Amino acid sequence: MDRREQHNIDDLFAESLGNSEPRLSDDIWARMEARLDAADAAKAALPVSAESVTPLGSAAPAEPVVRSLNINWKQYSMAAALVIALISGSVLFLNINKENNKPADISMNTSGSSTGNWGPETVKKPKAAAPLSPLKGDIIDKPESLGPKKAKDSKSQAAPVTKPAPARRRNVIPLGIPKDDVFGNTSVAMAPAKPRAKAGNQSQKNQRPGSKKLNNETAPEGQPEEPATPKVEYPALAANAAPANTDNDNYVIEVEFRPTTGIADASAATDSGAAGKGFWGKLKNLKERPAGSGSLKGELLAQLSRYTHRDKQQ
Amino acid sequence: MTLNFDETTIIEACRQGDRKAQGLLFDRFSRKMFAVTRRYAATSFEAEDLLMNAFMVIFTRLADYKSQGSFEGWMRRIVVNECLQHLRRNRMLFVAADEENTYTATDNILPSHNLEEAELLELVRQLPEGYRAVFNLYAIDGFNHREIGELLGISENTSKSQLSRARNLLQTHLLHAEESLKRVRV
Repeated sequence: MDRREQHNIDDLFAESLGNSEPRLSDDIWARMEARLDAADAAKAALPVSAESVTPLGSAAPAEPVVRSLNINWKQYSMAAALVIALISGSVLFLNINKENNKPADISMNTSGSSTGNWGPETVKKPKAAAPLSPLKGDIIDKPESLGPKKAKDSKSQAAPVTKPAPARRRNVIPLGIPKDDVFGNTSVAMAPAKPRAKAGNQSQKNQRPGSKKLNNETAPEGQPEEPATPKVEYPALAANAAPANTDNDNYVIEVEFRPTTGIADASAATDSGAAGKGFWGKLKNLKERPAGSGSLKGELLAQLSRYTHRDKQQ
Repeated sequence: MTLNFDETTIIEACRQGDRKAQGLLFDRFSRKMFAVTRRYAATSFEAEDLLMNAFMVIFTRLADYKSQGSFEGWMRRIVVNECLQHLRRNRMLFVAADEENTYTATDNILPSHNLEEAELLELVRQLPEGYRAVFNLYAIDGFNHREIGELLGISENTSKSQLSRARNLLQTHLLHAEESLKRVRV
């Protein structure tokens, strides 16, 4: 077949069939409209784009389902990302705190580090104990509280004022507990001091022994002050006492209670008391001294300071 | 601008979903498009079904039309694609031609042009699916072999060979049809 014949065949069919307008069925538009209505109803039921609409009879469109799944996956992924971020953040926070609470870093945390020391491995160095507020009627050795009295002492008392002893652990006697219950048989050692306590001011009687309350403060003005007797509470322990306050009028000898040694010292003193040796012996001698031989208080203070000096040297 | 005002108005109304405008557009182009579908389809009923499928696609893709080029050409392209998809869907495309039905036009007999349109259409429908598609695309719809290869997923040489075999078959059918007509007239 040559080229001319080929073109003749192509032209024959193109002219005959290409420009033809065959007649269609009469109900073709009705069927077409039914398809269009069905497509619109499907579009209204599922709000999808017009591109996804497929004619009836074809495969069911899967796009709406995929689209709804996409929305769910977005929400799920966002929630999962949030949860992962929270978990990782908490783990990181815990790790940081664990590192901060390592034993090597404890010294850094004692000054009050900002990180929370709440972990099980937390070892917190105890802070310096807050000074106990003095209870009324307690026996407390507080050298700095005697400062103002020293000035007074320098005026009126010739007795040597010793340097205050370094702070020791002090025993606090709670209020309302009998001393005998606390100190046991020390009441034997207290016996010599009792008669002198009776001679004190009436206001002092109501005070607990060893109270820091000064007679000057309690005594009414205008009333002549009696010379305060030195209150030697627990004289068996006076050897271990803090440096005596040399105030002539008002002073309190605050002692540290050490029962075993105190009792031992007391028994030793009692044993040697007949010969006038030791503290108790000296005290007995003082009590039995002739009247007018001098100030009992001065002698007692001198004795105390001597013993204190000896303790220090030891 | 190839569209006149009426076509533009109708197209815009069709984009808004106006059913009356869609009816007008269908009335205006349905016959021409039906001429395309019936060349690819085996029967008129199948051709009408293909026509409706093609118009559904046209109505839904009107937003993509940029008013550039021929609107009829744009529609014809959609219709042809729909026909090819139908052939592909039914696996009727490029079925191996029966060698017994393959005629070699050795004699130089030209068609007499005395055949009616329906008779020519019937000759085309007698072609195997692959031959028929390539012949329709090349001889009537005006596609070249490269485009035909892209549309049908075949090479240009395959398209050329298919077209050549389609022509030979048509020539043979035309000769047999001429002889039949002569016998009837005599």
